[in-house]
Amino acid sequence: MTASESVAQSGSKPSAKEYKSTLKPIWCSGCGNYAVLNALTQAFADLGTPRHEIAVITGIGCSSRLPGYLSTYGFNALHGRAIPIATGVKLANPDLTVIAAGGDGDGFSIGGGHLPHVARRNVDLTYLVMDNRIYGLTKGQMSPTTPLDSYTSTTQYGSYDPPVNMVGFMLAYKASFIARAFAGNIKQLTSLIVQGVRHRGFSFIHILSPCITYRGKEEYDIIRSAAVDLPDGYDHTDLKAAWEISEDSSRLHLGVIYTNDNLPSYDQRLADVEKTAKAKGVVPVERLIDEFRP
Amino acid sequence: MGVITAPERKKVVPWETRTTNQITIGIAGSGGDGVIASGEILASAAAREGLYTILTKSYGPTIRGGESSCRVRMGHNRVHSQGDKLDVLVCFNWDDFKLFKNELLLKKDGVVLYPESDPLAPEQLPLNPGLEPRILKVPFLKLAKDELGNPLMKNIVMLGVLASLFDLPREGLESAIRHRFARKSAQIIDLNLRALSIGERWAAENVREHLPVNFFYTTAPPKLLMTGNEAIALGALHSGCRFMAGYPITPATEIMELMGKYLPMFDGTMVQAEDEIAAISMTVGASFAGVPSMTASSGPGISLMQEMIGAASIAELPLVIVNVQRVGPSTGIPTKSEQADLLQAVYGGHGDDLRIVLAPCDVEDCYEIAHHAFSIAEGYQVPVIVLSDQFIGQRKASFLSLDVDKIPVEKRKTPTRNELKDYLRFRMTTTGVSPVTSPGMKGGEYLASGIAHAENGFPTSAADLNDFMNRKRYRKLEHIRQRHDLNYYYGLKGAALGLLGWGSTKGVIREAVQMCSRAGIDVAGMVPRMLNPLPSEDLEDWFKTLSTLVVMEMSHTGQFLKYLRSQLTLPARVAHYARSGGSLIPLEDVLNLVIEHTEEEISDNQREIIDPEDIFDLNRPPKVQMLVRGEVCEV
Repeated sequence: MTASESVAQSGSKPSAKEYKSTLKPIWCSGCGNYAVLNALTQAFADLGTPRHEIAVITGIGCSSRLPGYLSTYGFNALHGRAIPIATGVKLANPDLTVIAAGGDGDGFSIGGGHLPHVARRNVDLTYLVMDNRIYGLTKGQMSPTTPLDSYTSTTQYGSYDPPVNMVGFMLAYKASFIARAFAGNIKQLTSLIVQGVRHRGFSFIHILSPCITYRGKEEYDIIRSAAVDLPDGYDHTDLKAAWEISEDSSRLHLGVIYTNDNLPSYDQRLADVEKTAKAKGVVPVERLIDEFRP
Repeated sequence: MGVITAPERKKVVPWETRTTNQITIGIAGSGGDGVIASGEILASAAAREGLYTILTKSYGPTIRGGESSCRVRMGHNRVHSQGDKLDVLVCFNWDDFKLFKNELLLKKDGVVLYPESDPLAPEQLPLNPGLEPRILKVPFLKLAKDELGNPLMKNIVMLGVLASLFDLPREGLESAIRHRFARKSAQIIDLNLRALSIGERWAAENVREHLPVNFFYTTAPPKLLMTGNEAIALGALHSGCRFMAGYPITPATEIMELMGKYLPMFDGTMVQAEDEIAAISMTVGASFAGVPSMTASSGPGISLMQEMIGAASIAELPLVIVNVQRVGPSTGIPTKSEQADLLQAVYGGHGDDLRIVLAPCDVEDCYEIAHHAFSIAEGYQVPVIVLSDQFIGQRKASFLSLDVDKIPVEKRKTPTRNELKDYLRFRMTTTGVSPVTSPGMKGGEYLASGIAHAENGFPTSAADLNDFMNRKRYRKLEHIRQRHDLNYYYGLKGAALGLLGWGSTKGVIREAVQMCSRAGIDVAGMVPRMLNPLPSEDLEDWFKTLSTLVVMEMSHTGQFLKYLRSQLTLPARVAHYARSGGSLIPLEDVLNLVIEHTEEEISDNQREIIDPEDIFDLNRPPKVQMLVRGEVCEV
């Protein structure tokens, strides 16, 4: 029975398990991505979205293997290109729930050029970045979020490239939904994914998803000691407050950092364009050539 | 005010001068001279009176202003190439002319018009040596200023002069001007029409001699007039394309401009992506979501797209990629044509990726090829590269009509209800094509991927399974190779000498074959429009009829011949004409190749008929009897 059928027949919500495929993940034991897989499937179940109305698009990397472990539509495509592919999917069929996902290298190194544009267009998709601060699939090279002075296979004397501040970037790009989560807190992560999917526009969720193989077992403890929920009464529509949170290097604030619900999504803008284009009447497509007959 | 009608000019007596049913006019000048505008009006006028025309434009590096030139060839019969040499040259500024000197060569008996105020005397003009031109100084600017009070009108005055001197389509000019300024005030239209008449009157009153060129034509119903880029966009829309993402690049941008205008009218979307990689990625995404999709670019952009073309190939997603080729490598010459992206189109990806390559060979062919491209892409779930070039993409040409219902377009094969049980997205089939679902289709959920995968879409690193899937995908190629309808043949079946080219070189090949046939020289021509897979059987069958094959291309390293050699058995004697792009292959070069390589004795009379100085001069009585022998395939 598919997820939608179960919804239709029982009226109850589908289970998270129905959104998983039979394929066994390649991830190492202890990888934060398991939690993301569980949170994502739980979020789908909570949302009650039928499997066939979901498309999960990824690039290349450990975390980009994600769609293989789902029973939804999926596309495990090219390194760095999850965002533009997801954009094409959403524009071709705006009724779909489109998730783009991948790692820190996929999103902020090779694919970084797409981020300002997906944010300014406010394409209605949810982008999950599983940040493990290392290149895992290629076995331990520096990533764009690797902390300075880290020893990796490509930085034998300690890394000398300062890491990017993902949330700061996304704020600067004016993403309309920005949240941070931790793989160690599945419940909060699930809730943030649900909110992200429900947000009409581009949602960015920075997920701290430890790689214990190349960053060490202590990575969970390092994140836990710095992680803190956003304070009660925090106003996530306050851009200035969001900037302060993003610049706070001493702590990792978890929760919804910034939202702006006043922007039209890209498919809404395109629907307006269609209306304008059709306003003066439309000739049948086979008659278009007549415009070129003088 | 009112339109001043020109007094009847004393008609030039036919036969005393060179009467021709086709004329080529070149115009050069600076920005502000209205060179391009006057070319556009001339081409439009020709199409309005039912003439065949080709308009090509050439610019200096300046974005606005700067040097520009254009050439308009028009004729009563079909014209297939740009025309080698000019019958008429109008030059507003000789410094600007020098930039285009090699593109605007004049016939020996050509006519030159230039401003009266120009300091250069007729004998000082920087024309090629050995000419015997008729040179006229015309007060374009003075007429515009004195009679119309507007110096900008000088280009329309010039058109009036040309119309009078060469009997150009007068009604067409008037209607073209009305159309061009339709959104402007009645005064502006009136001013332009008066400028036309003033030019005509000046010519009638001041040029009493017989000019060497007398243009003769019969009016016919108006013809369509468009560029190849426009024709590709129209063809794509008509074939069902409903998504395009692109990134501006010369000389392909017009495709996305037109798609941006039309797609929203038909529930489609055009996105101007942040770069070419994003453009093709969005296109692949839209195709994955079930919508026939395309992108268009030129060499540099196509280079960036290679990785994603491979992804579409292994994920078996339909995709149309248009490459309007320009001179490469790197930035090269963005505004000029070349055919040196052939090997990239066929082999440019890593791994054994499968891409189909089609090549339109003229403007109206762009419309048809767009249909074949979508038909093959959707029908076989493969990326299809359409290799156009700047000469096709940006020239304007007129033609009778586009047969909108002629070409059937295959749709994507989706699974039946039965096939959805135990659905295998990449199931092995006899044609290699497996029914495909798309997001939103219940029960068809699957994983698309660039990683090697099994029939069910799950990733694999097993060598035997990967080989099995390669064989599955390459089955498509063998089926597509059976398309025998994509070749053009010209001339005489059984001719010993064959001219082979692809894309825009078709124009000169076809005209050369046509002229040689008239002269009784046996020449055949073939232009395949599918370059990967090559129609091997058709080509080899044709080669068997030849004793000499002449391969022609605009590629310094001769990519086409290299490619042919790698796939086919060629005739024993092969001649090769290969040179860089940047300027178009002149008809004269093709005719010289024929003279050089034919085993027939060519008489002086025959040589005279194939003189490129007066191609298609069909009204002049032939000096020898036409010697058409054998069966004519298509002329």
